[in-house]
Amino acid sequence: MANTKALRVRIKSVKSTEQLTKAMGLVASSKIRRANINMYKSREYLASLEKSISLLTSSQDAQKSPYMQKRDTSRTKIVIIAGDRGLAGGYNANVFRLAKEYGGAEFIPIGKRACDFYGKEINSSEKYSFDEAMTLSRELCREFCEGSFDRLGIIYTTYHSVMSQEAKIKWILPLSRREESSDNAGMIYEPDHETVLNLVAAEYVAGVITSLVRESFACEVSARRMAMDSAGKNAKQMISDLSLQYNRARQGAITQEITEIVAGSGQ
Amino acid sequence: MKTFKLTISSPDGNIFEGEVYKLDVRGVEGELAIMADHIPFVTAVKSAPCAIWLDDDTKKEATCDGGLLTVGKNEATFISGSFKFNE
Repeated sequence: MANTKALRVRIKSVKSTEQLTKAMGLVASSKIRRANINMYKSREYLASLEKSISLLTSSQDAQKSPYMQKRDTSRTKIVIIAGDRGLAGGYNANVFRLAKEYGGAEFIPIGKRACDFYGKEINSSEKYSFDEAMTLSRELCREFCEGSFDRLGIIYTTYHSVMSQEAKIKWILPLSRREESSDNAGMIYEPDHETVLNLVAAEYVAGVITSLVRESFACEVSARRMAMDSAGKNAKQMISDLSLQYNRARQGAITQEITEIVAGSGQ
Repeated sequence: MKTFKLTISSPDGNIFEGEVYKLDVRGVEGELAIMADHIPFVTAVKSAPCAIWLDDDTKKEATCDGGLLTVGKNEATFISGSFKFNE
């Protein structure tokens, strides 16, 4: 017969877990709206940025810029964007799994989980500002031009819907050349093509980082809400199973006692 | 007054989208103003105060933290990491 005391303790512990998942789910839900708004806004920004950069990289003059030089890709740096907290389903695990494919690369983590994982200084992906991205980007661009590394990628999570997110890698440096478009004809560059591109490259890298951090954060809160929803459902199911077991055990004990008393009184 | 379409984009989304009469910024080569029917033009912009004139001749002043200004056929896109209108 199951021990009623042990069952009672388990039910209590599952109940407190259920409360915790409910609270975390609620916090995530309240953050989803804001995170999504921020994500859509930064997507607009990224779209304009990509459009301008493709205009700048499409011409022949821009090919001289150090940001366009394709080199041997042995030395790679990767900015990896993970969450601030766990309990978000496979969100962090997917990012780290993808990172494993680039074993030889040097990682620059954003988000508390990633910082813990790579043992770097802690920063928050929720509060990551454009200024922080700009500082990082200036540093990276300087190192790239000096030739300290050959390519720069960003591992992030792309948002399809609340239900589905996917870890991906985006290569940003060296800048890839886009097809020459008709928009470019007769365009005047001040002071010249290469200078404009060199000045704007750091801004582009910072813009991409900020935008992808915001997209990843929207994925994190969505993933957490889904994970907490299903954890809450599981907890409810477990509580009902355990309660049934507990009631059976309690009833069994009472029946046994009655039988014993009846048997004793008959003697 | 002839106007052109201006889009100001920053990480906080499109901060401004609409018809303007003039845009004042400080480019890498010095101060410049963009008006309607400007030739296609691209320049990097420095951190400095800037201003836009709406079609009703009201002036809106702002501060930007550098960026990229692209002028196309009667439309302009200004991308800046940080752009704030002065209250």
